[in-house]
Amino acid sequence: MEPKYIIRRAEEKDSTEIAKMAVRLKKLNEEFDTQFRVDESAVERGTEIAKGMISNSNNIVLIAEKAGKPIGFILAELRTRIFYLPKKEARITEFYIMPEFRRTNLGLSLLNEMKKEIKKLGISLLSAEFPTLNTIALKFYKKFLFREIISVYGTEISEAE
Amino acid sequence: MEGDVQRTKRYDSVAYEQSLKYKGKIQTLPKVPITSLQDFSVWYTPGVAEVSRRIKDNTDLSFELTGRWNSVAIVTDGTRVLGLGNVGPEAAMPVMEGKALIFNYLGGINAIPLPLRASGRDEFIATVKALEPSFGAFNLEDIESPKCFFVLQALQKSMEVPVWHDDQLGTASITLAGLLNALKVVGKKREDVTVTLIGSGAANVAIANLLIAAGFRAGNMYLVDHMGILQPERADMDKLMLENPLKYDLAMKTNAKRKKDGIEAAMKGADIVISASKSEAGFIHKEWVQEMNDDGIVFALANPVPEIWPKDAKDAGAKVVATGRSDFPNQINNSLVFPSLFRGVLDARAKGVNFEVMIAASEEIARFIEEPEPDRIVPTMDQWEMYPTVAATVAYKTVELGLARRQHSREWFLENATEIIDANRRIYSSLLKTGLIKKMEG
Repeated sequence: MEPKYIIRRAEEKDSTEIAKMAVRLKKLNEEFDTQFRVDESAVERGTEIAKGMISNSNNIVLIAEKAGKPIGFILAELRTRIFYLPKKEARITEFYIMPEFRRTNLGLSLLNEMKKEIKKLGISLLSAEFPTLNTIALKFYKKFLFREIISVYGTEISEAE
Repeated sequence: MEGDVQRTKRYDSVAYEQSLKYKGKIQTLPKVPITSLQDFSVWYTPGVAEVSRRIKDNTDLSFELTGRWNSVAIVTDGTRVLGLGNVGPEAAMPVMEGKALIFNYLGGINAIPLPLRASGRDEFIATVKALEPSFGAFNLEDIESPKCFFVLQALQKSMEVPVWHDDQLGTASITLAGLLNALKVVGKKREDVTVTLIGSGAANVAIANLLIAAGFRAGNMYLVDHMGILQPERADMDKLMLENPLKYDLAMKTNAKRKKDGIEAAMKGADIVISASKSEAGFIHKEWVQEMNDDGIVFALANPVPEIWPKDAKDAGAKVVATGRSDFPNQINNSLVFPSLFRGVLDARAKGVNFEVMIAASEEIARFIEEPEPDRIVPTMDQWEMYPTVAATVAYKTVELGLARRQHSREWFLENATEIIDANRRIYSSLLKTGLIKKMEG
């Protein structure tokens, strides 16, 4: 039988692989909106950036691996809400699964593991952000009972303005 | 002696001259008797009102009381015509007219060419759907990839008549028929062979999916495009997931060995190579054919010039070679499929067509070659009895699958198709014999 994947907290040694997946995610986002043009200089610094993500105590980064090979990751930022209750929120800002492991419930497993992690910290609000035109992500979150709670709109300010 | 290139140029020149002379290839002619103007009281108003009333109460009667049962729309946006590319709807018309001619001559079908000025995906889909009440089936033609996949899928899902994209499904069906016989020639089994598909456009994506449906192993297949062999870890997979989900799905399930690199690596150790890519002799190198397994099968399907000349492929060790051309043995020609497939679905008043129907058609076509040989794996277009026979198999398959509006035995469908095709051919022969259709000069 094929070994099942494991999900664990990401460590510094995972930086390079997390960076590769993060870049794939950013390139995917590039497809949805011109405001997500990927900065190649950031790609070059990918491992360093990933290292920062993992070591940041305001982030929870989980990695999925199969037979020692990374196959997906999820990152949630822990945020404080000054005026609102509940006071704490975990916002998923990075979520990527390698193509051949999609449609295998790995996404749901990563999401559930993240829920467990934030619950341990006493956080009850989990949110997710992704490009508006990413209908695949939209479908995924809606399926698991996420609903729209905030909208972000953008405009490019021209030189003449 | 006239070479392959010269012969191709000569056809170009004759086609232009004859098009100037004939100014179109098809026309409409009445099929009911008109002996006096009084007859219009039956064929038109007032009598025709009763026919309309009955169809209003039961729209399926439109198949029995009008010519819908035998009408096919040939729809294109002209975005990928032959090997010419995006030539637009007007320039697509001569090709669609030619297709209509084959539909009629081989299948006895009234096919109407409909190049549309509707380049957007949604506009195209909406236009075709709006035409549904007028036709018994739809043939999509020469639409660019990946738009063709979305359009076909959307129309097949939403329409109650068969929708076919010949560049995908016709090519896939005749390729499967040819492969079944080629495998007999080399004594290999479909579940054991390694298949490399060069080019991952409409034809090869459909071929790969049909082969998988027919029992070839997905993991033993390699699809190659301009970026190399498809495999799940390739950097463009996410983009592909959004833009071309069918090709993406194939990237997920083929290439079990996770081969990387390009055509050369994909051909090494292949039993079968199917190329539907660049119309350029020598695009497939002889050395690459030499690296295939013994008794290799090479289908070089680009038109007008195959990716490797048959002689070169054979010199390099291929046992069976097929191309898209009629001037070489083993022509992988959609015309061996679509006239009879449409005859079949029309006769059954089918609501749709699927891989099972296509496999049944391919197996029937393959059976027409009793003892396949390296240079004879597919029938030729002049095997007239093939058309009604395949049509009957297709019609009966739709009955078995619950897709048919009309239930009959296979024998009934065979007799029916034979009669329709023969009657149509007799009308045409008499027009030709009496000089009403003028013969080509020269």
